[in-house]
Amino acid sequence: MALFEIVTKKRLPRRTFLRATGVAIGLPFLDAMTGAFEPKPREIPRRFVAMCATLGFHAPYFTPKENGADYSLTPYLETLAPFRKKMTVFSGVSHQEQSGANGHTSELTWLTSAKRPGLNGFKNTISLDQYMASKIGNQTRYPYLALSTGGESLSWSGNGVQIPAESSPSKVFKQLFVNGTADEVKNQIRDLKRGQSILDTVLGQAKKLDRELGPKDRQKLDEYLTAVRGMENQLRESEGWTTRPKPKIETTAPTDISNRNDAIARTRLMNDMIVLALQTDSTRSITFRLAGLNSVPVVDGVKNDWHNLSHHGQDTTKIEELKLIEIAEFKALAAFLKKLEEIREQDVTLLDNTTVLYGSNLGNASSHDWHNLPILVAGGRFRHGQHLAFDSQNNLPLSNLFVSLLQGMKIHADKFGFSTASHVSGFEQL
Amino acid sequence: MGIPEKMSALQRTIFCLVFCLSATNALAQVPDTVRAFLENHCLICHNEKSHKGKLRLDNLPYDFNEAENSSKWKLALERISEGSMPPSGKKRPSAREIESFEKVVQGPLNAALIAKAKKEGRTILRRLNRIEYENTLHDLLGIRAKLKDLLPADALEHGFDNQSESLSISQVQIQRYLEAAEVALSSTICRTARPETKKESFGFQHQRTEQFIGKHWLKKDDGSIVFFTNNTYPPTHLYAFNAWNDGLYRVRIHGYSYQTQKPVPFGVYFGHYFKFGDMQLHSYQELPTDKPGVVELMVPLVKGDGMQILPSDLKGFNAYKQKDPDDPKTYKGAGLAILSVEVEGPVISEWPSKGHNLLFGNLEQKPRDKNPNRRNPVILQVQSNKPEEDAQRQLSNFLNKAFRRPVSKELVDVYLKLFKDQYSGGANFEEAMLTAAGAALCSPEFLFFQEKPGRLETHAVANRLSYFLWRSLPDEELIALAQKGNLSEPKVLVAQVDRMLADPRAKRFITDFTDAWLDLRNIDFTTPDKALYPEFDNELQESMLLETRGFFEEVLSKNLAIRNFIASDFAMLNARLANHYQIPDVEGVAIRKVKLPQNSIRGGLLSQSSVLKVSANGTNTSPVVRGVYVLDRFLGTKPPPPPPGVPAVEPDIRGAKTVRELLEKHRSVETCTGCHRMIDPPGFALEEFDVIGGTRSAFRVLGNPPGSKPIPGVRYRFGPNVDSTGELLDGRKFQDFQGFRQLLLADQDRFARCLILKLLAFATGREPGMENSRELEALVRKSSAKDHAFRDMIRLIVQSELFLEK
Repeated sequence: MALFEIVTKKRLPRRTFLRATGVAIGLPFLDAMTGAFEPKPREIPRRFVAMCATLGFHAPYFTPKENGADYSLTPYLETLAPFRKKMTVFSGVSHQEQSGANGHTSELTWLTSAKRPGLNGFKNTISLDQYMASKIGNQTRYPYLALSTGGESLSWSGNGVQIPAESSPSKVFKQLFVNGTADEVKNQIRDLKRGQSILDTVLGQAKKLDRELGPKDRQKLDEYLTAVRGMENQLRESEGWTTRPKPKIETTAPTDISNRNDAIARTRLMNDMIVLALQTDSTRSITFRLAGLNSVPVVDGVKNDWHNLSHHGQDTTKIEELKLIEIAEFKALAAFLKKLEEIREQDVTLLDNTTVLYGSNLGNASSHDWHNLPILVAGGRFRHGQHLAFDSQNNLPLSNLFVSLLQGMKIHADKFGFSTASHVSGFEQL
Repeated sequence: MGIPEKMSALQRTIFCLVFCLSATNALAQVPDTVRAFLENHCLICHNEKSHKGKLRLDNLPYDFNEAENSSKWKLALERISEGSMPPSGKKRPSAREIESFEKVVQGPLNAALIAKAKKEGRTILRRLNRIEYENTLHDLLGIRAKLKDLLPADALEHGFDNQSESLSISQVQIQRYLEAAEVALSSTICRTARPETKKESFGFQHQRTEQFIGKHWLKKDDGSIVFFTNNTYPPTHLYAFNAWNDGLYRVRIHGYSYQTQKPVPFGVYFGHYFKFGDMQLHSYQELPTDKPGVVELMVPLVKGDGMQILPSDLKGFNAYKQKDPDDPKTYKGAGLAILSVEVEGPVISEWPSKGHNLLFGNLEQKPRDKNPNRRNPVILQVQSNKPEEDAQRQLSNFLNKAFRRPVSKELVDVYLKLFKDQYSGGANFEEAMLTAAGAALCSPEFLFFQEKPGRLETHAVANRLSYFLWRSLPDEELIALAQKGNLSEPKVLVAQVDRMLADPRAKRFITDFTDAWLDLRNIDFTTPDKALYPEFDNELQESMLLETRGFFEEVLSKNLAIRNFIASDFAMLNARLANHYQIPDVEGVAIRKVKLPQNSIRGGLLSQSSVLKVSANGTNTSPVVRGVYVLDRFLGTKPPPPPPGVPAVEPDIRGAKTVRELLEKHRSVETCTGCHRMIDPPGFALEEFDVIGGTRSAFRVLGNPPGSKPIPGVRYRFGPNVDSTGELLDGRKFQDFQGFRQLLLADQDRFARCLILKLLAFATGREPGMENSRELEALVRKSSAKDHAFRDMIRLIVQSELFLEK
């Protein structure tokens, strides 16, 4: 508890309202299935992870020259060779009309496909992971995780509000696996009830305002009312989860990596948390923003600022230095996929039940070009093992792929965002 | 519908018949010119079958009274006017066709939009953005807790983060409001006796750094330690000091600049010594050369925080030389001598805090626990003998302030009921009050601006004014004037603007407005390439911000004409900037007004490094990006985004070709040339400035273009020459940046119109649209009559209908 006139900067008073129930991670839902009866043998759940490297990848080192199954591995894909049969590489895909307020605004819409990001009248739309969470999030303790190595998340709510990101692996771990003491649980429940009383009060008051407003204003107030009601429900349902023990695991709590520039190590540590979250079915929808740095990343042989290297302007020494960073990113992905592959779930592996969407919102970061994005999908129930090359002049909408990914989660969908087709030809479900 | 060209006459007739039947008779009511335009250019995509962009124009009723229709017509008109529709690859309508389409649609559309604004208001129900939220609670409660970072980021609309339409609310926000309210309230309540303020003195002699003394650092007889380099190793942390509590500290650095005629600038950093990246720059400072001096800072610290002093431009000597390392005793170069650092804190101006007093008045506090000891220190708890009466009075006080207007008894009762429920449910008085106050901070009355359609009542005006110029809640004087009912009178408004701009809170306006207008919030978005720009450092970046904010403040506070934003005979500089700009005789870290030499390329905003840095990417500059920057932010033209399928020009810093040369090819394509003739010229003019705002006549490159020579001491060479000539869309030509600047000066009304629009967007939460052109032009005229003096412009804006109506 803060006792002084001024509380500054980083540290916050220890006890805050909803600490108990999860902050960046969204609040838990009560599993409606719990009951006194023997549970039915469960179908293995499908999971989804999206990772976006916001400074892009040097395309010639990513995209294979040949189409189809017999493509030869490029330097970056070389690192993923063991998973060749379990992944599909895409080229010639992008979202439409992504010229935005600046060269990097396409990262706002990587999972949403909304057009003209940051320009006049722009309003973002729901991101793929949040759409999934709205459909299946109530089946797990947490409907989603929105993670980042630093800065904002990739996730956007239905009315275009950015979900704050969690970037501390130890906090994620605590939230997922550490049970509170009896006193803590008691306090948590008291706080949840207090929160409900607060929301109940403001809701009653806000409804009275509704009568006085014009249509546009009412829309805004409705957003507020809907948000308050949703929050009330979640607080109520959280009470149930608060008293139920969290999954028991062998792993010990991680120590966060304080060096901001050690982006690769931070990525790897968070990836481990993602594996644990998926393995314990704590959530089924995860986004992880792999934020680039305006500084020199900790990678052997790299001496220059990362963002700067991405604007290589064709300078070969810069490109080779950039390659060192990007290879390290792909190696982290390979290690992540390997862990998923090593976990058995009935007669398949966790990777077979997890669709991993990996790529960037920039096709050529040096010129901020948002066409021809580097995209790959690994895992999940798809007929993998090929390079699907689409027209580099007239790109396939990336949201067409999103529709396929929704279907891969067994979510009924025939469109998402600005999709133009209900599937991607050549990318079939198993 | 554009009729496919390769059709026979018969096919055409059938096509039309089928098409016209399939469209409803909505199209029949559309005036001929408009219908012809739609048929020729739009309906091929926006029809029943292929309603691209989810827009159908074949059945759009020509009835602007329906909001849904008028917003679609508005969209169509905007896209056609900006040239992004029809898309590239489709037949371009002629200028005459576009003009007649605009002429016909604009009239009824404007009338409908104005009628709608009268009924509903131009601004939509607007919530506080997270900066306003934090400022409000800081000022209301007298706290400094970081609340902003607890809330989701606010959407940006054309650089502004306070626009009513894009400020949405989602469940995650409500979750964060609950948490932020708790943080704010618990940091304002005072549960101990007034903490003791301690004063101590520290030096750089410490067991961690002892080893460096004599080798890297010099210890002098006066007790000072002298640093000779700006290296981060050995670490110049003041290890002996750790903040002993959370709070505000007075820090006094005693010392002098050693063996130099020029004061040595140094950065002062605060934060945790051992958490990487936690040390944050406070400011750059300097100490005198001839005798010991002192620098005093007021800094909010968290318990455990430490301090670092890092000289900024000391070349120093090399103690790591293998043979004959340099010796600090014999070294003759400049150094920074620190005698001691005196720290006093926490400095408390008010105890209990402002927020505590507001919530609990002078209600008595008693120890919570019976037997306090070292492990359980005394925790005080607010007591009340008449809980209901006290709660009613205190909540009423609190709500009046927090809701920024008088609240009715009914409204107080809502929160009083929550208090009573909590109290009767077992919470103590203090807890129950905090719950009720927490609820108030999550309520629409706190989170939203309360504005009713039509002329704003005076409390709404007080709030608009206050969030415009202070970015926070109105003070007692504004509320009193609102209460009296005469705040909207021109004289009163003008007096208030002057009073508010003289208040320190107006700094927030300067920072937030320039962050949005000039994109200064992205000053550290890129780090300039070390090989290309070795002269860049943190002190320069920090100085860039100080320059532009200082310049803006100078024009504002002196009521100078806005033409100074384009070209001025003065600049706001410190030694670091003056050196960067090659302007002689400016010394010291403080920003001050400097008269510029005749014909200086500096002066105005466009030649300031901050602007030139945010419009570049750290490695190279693009005339397109900078052209768009100038058009949008100075001339009020928002160029359309490039049509789909056009690849961006890829810069090449190996040195063979300039971006301008690479662009030439692009510009010669017919579909591109229209826009690029408008966009590129301002960018060409700015080619004279590099990514950190230095002037250049040739581009720095990292390759070895033919004819280039190595330059001693740096890795870059000079490549192709800069070409900063250009021709504006209206045919006026310029030879260089200064020539371009003269052309801008020739049309000050256009710049004024742009600036007024930006100010109105910032002040009211919505940029005025084409339907407001009459009021806008009136403002431009009135401003012109005052020679577009900047403070007068703001005075006029707050008196305008656009400001005083919702």
